[in-house]
This record gives sequence, structure tokens and C-alpha cells, in this order.
Amino acid sequence: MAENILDNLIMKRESKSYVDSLHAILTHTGQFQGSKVLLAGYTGMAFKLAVHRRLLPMSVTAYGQWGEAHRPGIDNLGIFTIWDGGRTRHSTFSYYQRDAVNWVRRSLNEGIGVIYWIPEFGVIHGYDDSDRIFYVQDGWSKEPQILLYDNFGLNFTGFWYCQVFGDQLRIPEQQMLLESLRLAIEDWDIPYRLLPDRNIASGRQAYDVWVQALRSGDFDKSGAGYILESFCHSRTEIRMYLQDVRGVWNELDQACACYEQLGTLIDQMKGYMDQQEKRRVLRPDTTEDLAQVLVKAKALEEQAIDYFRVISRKYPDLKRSTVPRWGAHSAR
Amino acid sequence: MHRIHWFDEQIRGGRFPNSSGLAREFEISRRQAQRDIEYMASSLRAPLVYMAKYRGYCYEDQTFRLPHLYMTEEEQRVLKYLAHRYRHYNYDQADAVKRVAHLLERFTLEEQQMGSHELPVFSAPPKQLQFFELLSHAISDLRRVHIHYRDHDGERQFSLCPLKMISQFNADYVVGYVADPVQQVAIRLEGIVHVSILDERFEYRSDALLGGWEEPLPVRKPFVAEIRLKELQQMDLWQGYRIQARQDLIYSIEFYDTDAFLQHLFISEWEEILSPGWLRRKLQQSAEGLIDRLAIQRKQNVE
Repeated sequence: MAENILDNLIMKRESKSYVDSLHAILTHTGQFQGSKVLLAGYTGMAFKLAVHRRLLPMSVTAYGQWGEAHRPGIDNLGIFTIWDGGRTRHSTFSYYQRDAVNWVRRSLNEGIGVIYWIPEFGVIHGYDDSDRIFYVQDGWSKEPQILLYDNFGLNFTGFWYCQVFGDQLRIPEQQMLLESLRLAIEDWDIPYRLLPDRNIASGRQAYDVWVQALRSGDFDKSGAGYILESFCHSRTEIRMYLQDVRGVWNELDQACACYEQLGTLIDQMKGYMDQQEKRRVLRPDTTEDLAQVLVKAKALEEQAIDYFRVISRKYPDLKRSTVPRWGAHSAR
Repeated sequence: MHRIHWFDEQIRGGRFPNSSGLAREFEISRRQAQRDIEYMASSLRAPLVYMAKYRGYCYEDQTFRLPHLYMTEEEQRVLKYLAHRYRHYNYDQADAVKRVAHLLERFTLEEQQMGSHELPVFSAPPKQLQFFELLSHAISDLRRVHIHYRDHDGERQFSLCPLKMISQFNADYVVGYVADPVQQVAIRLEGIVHVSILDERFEYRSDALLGGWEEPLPVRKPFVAEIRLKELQQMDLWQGYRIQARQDLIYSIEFYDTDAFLQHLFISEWEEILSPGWLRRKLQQSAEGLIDRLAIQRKQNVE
């Protein structure tokens, strides 16, 4: 009967839950030394924006099919990763569950934490075979949550997700930067990441859906607050990321200037929220004002992305220009 | 609650019950019986007076009635409906809501107390409640029903063999099959104009007919703590927590919410926590935290 707890692996909620989890794990293993802002930038996670047409709170993590949405970012860091996930209602779930329990334990034995959908994303940082439990951090509370092996993957959302990491190869910083801009362009251009469902829009389209929901008045109040809060944070992350990597290309500095202008709009948007207990909520009398500011924000971001396009065109893009048998889709 | 009912009846019958009588009747310890009596006096505000002459209790005020212990049939019906809605609730905090569903179901049989957590509110139009009750009756009695139904496609009337009630996307449905040709259908309660139960019974056809409507989801298992208690437990519950197994005074007790169970451990009597280790550690940590805080306070008071 073994027990293993990874000390000094601490997850703190600040950014998107996936970025927070990834940062905790990779800084613990020493595979990433930079700030969370840099990680959110290199993985392209900061650029992801998804909005449900009723502004449901789940929009914040509904930015795509997770395996496919996260993979390019982890690839960009040069890190080996394996993930699994699915629906807990599937009849074979119990087999996958048992198997996942084993590979999560194996990863912890190798000293690497594991990303786990609680929900939202959190980190498994220990296990105890005698009690058949994992220790899970959600990033909010200091005390870890206790998860029975038997309950692994079970939660109210009806789906499970788990991801482990392995070795890393070195990728030059400029190459990582360039790829992150291309990920940003991709996220901006693709309107629906969860087809055939069209309730959740992404990138440029997400702004339109957001403004429409605010104007129609038919939206989830707590979701509206959460999406706005997450938006303000991620756009601030992008601005800081671009400031960090400034000087590489002229166009990048111009894009950075767009996000700096967006920063002033964000200050304005923050004023539309009130603090209620632990979460921020949108003040009902500010929906039209917010809609107007979002229209301006969209234009600024469109401009910034156009600068990214100019940079991208300067270099060959083998990943996207080599068309495989299934078009842009991967075999997974 | 059965014990309190019994005690109340004995008093009203002028039989002057006491703690040993209560202990004998329900095979519980005298101490437990005494606690029941104290509960009646303090929490239920029963005007109990001990009559030394008769060595038992009576009410000082004969007009006293046990509060909140009775539920009208109508209230029970409403609770049954709410239990159904909560059981099928599948959005935020579904686990907590489903546990409440379990509690509510028990309400309909016996009285329980519940906390005041914030729960989703469902509208319960009386007409739908009525249909829900009629259809539940028909399901348990295997009776055909005649339904007058209206939706976007217009109005129609048909006879249905109802099998079960389900909730999907915040609406109630009755699932059953219609004859000729035999076909499974789900009827939305909102669209029903009228339901009447027919005399004709139907034979229950295998579960296969219900396939696809509601896949059973894997259920989250409870934590189990092995605890050595001071006293033998007569019921399957240890002050509300289900006893899964017992051996002598060692009980395997189920719980879902760690914080609530830790609080329970702080206020109840037990001898030893045998497992799980993490629970022991958590309890120890919070006890040490408490002692530390008290020590700081003592130090400040001295200074």
C-alpha cells in the first residue's frame, strides 16, 4: 500500500483554470520557469474566448474539444503529453476509470502532477492507496479535496478529463512566440469550436454573440459576470505577454499598442461589475454600455490579429500549409 | 420521531411515561431516552412536568401539540413532486441537490429536518401536480390512461400505458407506450390538457422499452469511516449518517460531505476513528488549529 504526495506543488486560481493547473505542474517539475502570463501566451490559452448565446458560466471552459484545444499549446512548449476523457455515462467508462487511476498514480510516482477536471480544471498532486484516494487542488481552497478512486471522473457535468505530462524538448523562444500568434489567429477566425452545436461561439464571433445576448436581455446573470471577469483577465494577460516579448517584430509592437488601448476599455468594463460575496456580477443597468465597449474592443482585437497575420506571413507555416489526408483534422 | 410520538400518546392517555418506560419500549439506553425527553422539552417546547407521585411526565398545558411533526397529505404530495424534480436536476451543484432529493423522499414517509441551503426553485403549477399524481398512481397500479394532449402539431387524444416519469431540460415527461403499433413515447406534462385513469390494466413489458430514455449514470460513492462508538446503535443511522456495516462497536459510517462530517465528529461522542487516515488528519489539524487560536487568545488576555 503506497502513498505519495508531491510537496511544493501549489495551484492558485488566477487565470483560466487549465493555465493555473498547467503552470503549477510545469513549474514544479522545472519544465517551465516563466510567469503564468507567459505560459498563457505561449500555449495560446490567453487568446481563447468562448461565449454561450445565453452567457452561461460554462462558456469560460467551453473553448473547444479539450484534447484538440489544449494539444497545440502543449506541443508549442515541446512537452510530451497524454490525455483521456469522455462521457461518464458510456458503458465502458468503468474500464477507462480504472486504467486512468493507474496512470495517474504512475505519473505521481514519477513526480509529475496531473490535470483533472473537477470541474473546472484542477491538479491531482497525491494519492494514498490504503484509503484509495487522490488529493486534488482546485486552486481556491488551501485544503486539498479528497477524491475516491471509485469516484474518479464522476461529476455533475457528466464528462471526465485527465492529462499527464512527460519529457520535453527545447523549442527556440521566437518559434514558440510565432506559433502562439498563429494559434491566436486560428482562435480568432474559427466561429464555432463545438460543431454541430452553435450555441457557443468562439473568437471574433464570440463578441457578436456576447453583444447580442446583452442587448436581448436573455442571459444568465452569474455567467455574464464570470465571462466578463475572465475576459478582462485574459486580455490583460495578452497585453502583459506582448509587453514581455516586445521588440522581436515591429508589427508585434503595434499589436501590443492595440492591446494597451484595449486595457483602458477593460478598466471601464471592470467598473460595470459589483463584488458580491466571492464573485463579481454585472450591474444590470450597464448592459448597453458594456455592449458598446465590447464592439470597440472587438475592433481593436481585430486590428491586433491583423498585425499577427502580417508577422505570420513572413515565415513558412508547415503545420498549416501541409494538408494531410483529412484536411486540417488530426487523426485523433 | 416515533419515540416522541409514542411518548406524547402515553402522556395524552394519562399513563405518565418516564425514561425507563421509553427505553424499554424502544430498546434504547436510558440515557438516550432521557435525551429524547430533553429534546421534547427544549427543542419542541413541550410543557413537560415530572409528577413524582406517578413517577412519570404529564403536560402542564393540555392544549400543547407537537409542532411540525404532522404533514398533510397535500404537503406530502408537493414534497413527492419536488423530490422527483430534484432527483432529476442536472445542472450546477447537482450532487447537493440530489442528496436533498433523497431527503425529501424520506420526508414523504417520515419527518426529517433539513438545512437552509440555496436550492433551485421550480414552479409547481397545481394542474401539473395533479397530473403528476394521477400518472404516478397509474404507473404503480399498471393502469392505462386516456390523455388529451396539445402541442405545436395540434390536439390529439390517445390511450397510454405509462411506465415512468422523467425530467429532461427542466420539463417533466411521462414515458410509456401506445398500442397499435406498439411504440414508445414521451409526453410532456405541460402539454397535457386532461388525464383520466382507465379501468383497464396493462401488463408490464420488459425494461427494453425504456431503453434510451434515461441511461443510468454511475453514482458517486460515499466516503466510509470506520469508527468505534461508545454505545450500541439501534438504528441504521448514526445521528443521521447511514451505517453501512457494524462489528461489535465498530461501525462503517457513510458520508458525502467532509466538512459536515468533521463538524459532526466535533459534537458527537465516539471512541476511535480507525480509518480513513486523511479524515483523522483533517480532524486533528482543525482541532490543533482551534487549540492554537485559544492559546493565542489566552496569551492576549494575560497580557
